[in-house]
Amino acid sequence: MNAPLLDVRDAEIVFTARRGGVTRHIQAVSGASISVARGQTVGLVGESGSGKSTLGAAAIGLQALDGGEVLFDGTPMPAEGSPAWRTLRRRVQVIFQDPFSALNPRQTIGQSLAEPLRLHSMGPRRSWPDRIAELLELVGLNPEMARQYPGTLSGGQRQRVCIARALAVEPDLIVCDEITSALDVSTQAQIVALIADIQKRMGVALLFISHDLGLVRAIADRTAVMYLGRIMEAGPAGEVFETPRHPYTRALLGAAPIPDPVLEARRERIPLRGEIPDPADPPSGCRFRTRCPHAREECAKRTPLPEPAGGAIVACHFWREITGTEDRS
Amino acid sequence: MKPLLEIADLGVAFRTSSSLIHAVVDVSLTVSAGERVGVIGESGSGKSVMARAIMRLDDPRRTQYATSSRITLDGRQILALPEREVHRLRGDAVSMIFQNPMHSLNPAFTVGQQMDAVLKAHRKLPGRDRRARIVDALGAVDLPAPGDLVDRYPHELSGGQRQRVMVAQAILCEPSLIIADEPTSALDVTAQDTVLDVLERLSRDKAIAVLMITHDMGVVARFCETVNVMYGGRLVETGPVGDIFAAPRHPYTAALLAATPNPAAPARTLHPIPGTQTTRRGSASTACAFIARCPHATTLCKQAPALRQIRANHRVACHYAEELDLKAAG
Amino acid sequence: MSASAPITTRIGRLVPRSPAGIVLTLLGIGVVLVALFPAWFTPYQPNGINARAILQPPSPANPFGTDELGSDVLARIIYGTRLEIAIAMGSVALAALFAVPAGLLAGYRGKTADWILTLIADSILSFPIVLFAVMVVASMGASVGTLIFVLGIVFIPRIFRLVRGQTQVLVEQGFVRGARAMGAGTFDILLRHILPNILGPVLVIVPQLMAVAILIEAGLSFIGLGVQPPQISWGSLLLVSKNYYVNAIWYPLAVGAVTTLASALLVFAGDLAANAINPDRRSG
Repeated sequence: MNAPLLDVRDAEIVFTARRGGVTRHIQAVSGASISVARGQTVGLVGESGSGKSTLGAAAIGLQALDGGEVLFDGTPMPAEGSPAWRTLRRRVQVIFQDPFSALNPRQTIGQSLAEPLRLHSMGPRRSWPDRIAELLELVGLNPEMARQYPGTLSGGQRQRVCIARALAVEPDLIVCDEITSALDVSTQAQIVALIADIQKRMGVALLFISHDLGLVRAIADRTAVMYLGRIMEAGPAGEVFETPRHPYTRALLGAAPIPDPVLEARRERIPLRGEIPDPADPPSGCRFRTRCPHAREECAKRTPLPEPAGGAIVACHFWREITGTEDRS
Repeated sequence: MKPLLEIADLGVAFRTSSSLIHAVVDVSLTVSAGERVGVIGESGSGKSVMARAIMRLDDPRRTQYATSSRITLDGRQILALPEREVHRLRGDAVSMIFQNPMHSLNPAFTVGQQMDAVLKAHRKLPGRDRRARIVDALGAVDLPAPGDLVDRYPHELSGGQRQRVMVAQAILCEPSLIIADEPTSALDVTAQDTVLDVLERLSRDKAIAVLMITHDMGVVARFCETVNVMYGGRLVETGPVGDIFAAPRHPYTAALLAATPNPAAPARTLHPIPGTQTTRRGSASTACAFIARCPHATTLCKQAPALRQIRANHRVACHYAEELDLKAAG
Repeated sequence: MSASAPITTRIGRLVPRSPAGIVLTLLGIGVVLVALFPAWFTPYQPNGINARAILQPPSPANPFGTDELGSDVLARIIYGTRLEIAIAMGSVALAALFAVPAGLLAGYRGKTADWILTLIADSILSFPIVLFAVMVVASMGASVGTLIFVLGIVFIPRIFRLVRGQTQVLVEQGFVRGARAMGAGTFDILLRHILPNILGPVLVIVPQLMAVAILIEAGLSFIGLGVQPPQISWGSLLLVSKNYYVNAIWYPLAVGAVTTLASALLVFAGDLAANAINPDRRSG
């Protein structure tokens, strides 16, 4: 069995924020593990404040850890600025949410695409124009667009340029951080179809971060569900979506509207109590217990560790009981 | 029965320094009392402009309504009313809820103060009665400890709570219609679910009609009884939600459904709609709005199809509405 | 190579399109010509003495009249332009030389460097200009160089704050985060991604600072801390002309009007440039 391409182990990330003279320690990520195999697409779902984007940044070395480790291709994160760091910067790429700020408004599309080629000395300079044209065609854009400035492009076109830029250096892993949440539904489908197609053809691994369950289901091989800095459930996408075991996954799926009135009317809904707690003062034990319909005393005392459940892993003391009773009813 | 709201042949255009942008073209729709009606479309479809026109919220200096346009609310001709009277309707007979609750709430005032301002503007009530009514409204939207919440500031609340405050504010004067413009687009799924729950219950219990403007087919399926699909400023399909989702008759509706991610569907690739929507400038085009992206377009489509009835309450603006086999696409 | 194109388009956008912009640009070119070639614009020598024409009122031959030594006032103003422009441009350039790198550093790195640099800038800002000028003149003597130095220091916080603020905003932008993720170094990011994007706003405040320079120069020269005779600047003319406001009111009036007009036009030019760069402000 090969080591995974990306292996994040027990990541801890704490932000220190001062507000009104009071120092607050916000636990953005606490003890989260996630791994991505070569050529695999892993979906990371969570609501705002779950820490999913912070974990994504840590996965590619853009966010320092306060505990745990990140192994890329079996080796720990190299020190910033080292030769190994530069190599890593070629092998992992990231695409951000907002396509409108992702491109330097003062650079042409061609210049933006040349940047990774220059930074990583990808071939002789005279080969770049051809390579840029090739990349633009790969993402379904007219190569003529290299001469344009981003200001003249639509959101979908810009996001295609960002995909092209990420692909320019033939990376092993691309982190996609909410790449379609600023786009319209039809454009979103275009971008997801494009990235799924490229993933298949080039065999690049994807860490696909999104708040949209339907989107993750459409693209991911495996899915991890995150809540308040912890992974609640992870496993093959089909299994997580069809037989969710963690109460949070069940509640999340129960809250997501289904674009089909017949299924929608039958959707099992699990109302959640209260609001997401303050990440500076998270609940003891299970992070989800303050909102969980099944919470009991035990949940406040002991932190549930991720344990195997079918083909997935679940961090809940009582997942057997919860899924058992509801299966019978 | 006469509908509560009737929009007929609405056309809205905006003047810019160089041109006229036709944002809404010939849109007609009705909302009955207590009905939950959806308007779905992508950005640029004209759905929000249409919604704002109902309360005449656009700058009159640059907004032009087509001369044939009529908006009738409870017998009143909105487009013909003096501004003073339209202003009196806003927040009273008709309330609006917008996408970003942080922009709609003033951070310098407590929840109670802002709601009181609305109530004071429309109802002559002693202060104690107003407070009681505000607390009632906050309780009606399932906010915990409403008596305590009135004195809190917006920043002390989560996004979902703030949006429920907006809903509470919207029902203060017992409106007959709530226009909700993407009320849950900025919220997480769990918070969205709660807001939709509250709105649905209020609509049922108090017979408040809700016009839900959204880009999310899931929200339509979840919340609405009838749906109006807009594209390029025009209404392309309208009818009962069940009928339209089961058998869309306009190629755009079918394409939109196929492009919508579905958390309940077994893994499948999404079917993108090729191309992008374009905003029309200058004179309104005479072709079908969807012609450039439609896989079924023919030369006939260079003449805009009229919206026509194909079944009870189900109307479609497509020349080929009866012939196309659209379910296969989705 | 790749960074040069955006800068040309940026400057291209500054080419005026509105009538006011065109008039101002032509006026600016005119002023520069006056500064470089004063003799083209007046037949008189600035220091010519004419005992028969002392403090003459305006006439077709001397549109602004003559001064206490019989020199043409207009000629003196014209010959003063060169120094005026040199002081205005020199001080802004001097300030930019220090303030731009400091602002970039403070805005990009943050933490300690930001704290120290901001403290320095705030200290300069809170120091009274006249007191500072007195101290510098006392140690270095009054001269054009001293004046440029004083004004340069005074302008540093203005440019620093602008650059720092703009940089802080840009650092959060996706393209800067993206460049970092791709492995671009600090220098690379500052040069290719941040500097081209702050050049516009910096160019916009240049005319405004020049206007301030002209006014401060006038003020400091007026109290004897600035340009010293026989060198001519508008401020030094103002100093001399004040003695004759009873007998020859046109003399101080002409000098004062030119000074005021020049700074007003510069402020206006800055506004126009700001609008040209930021299309959102056009409607407002």
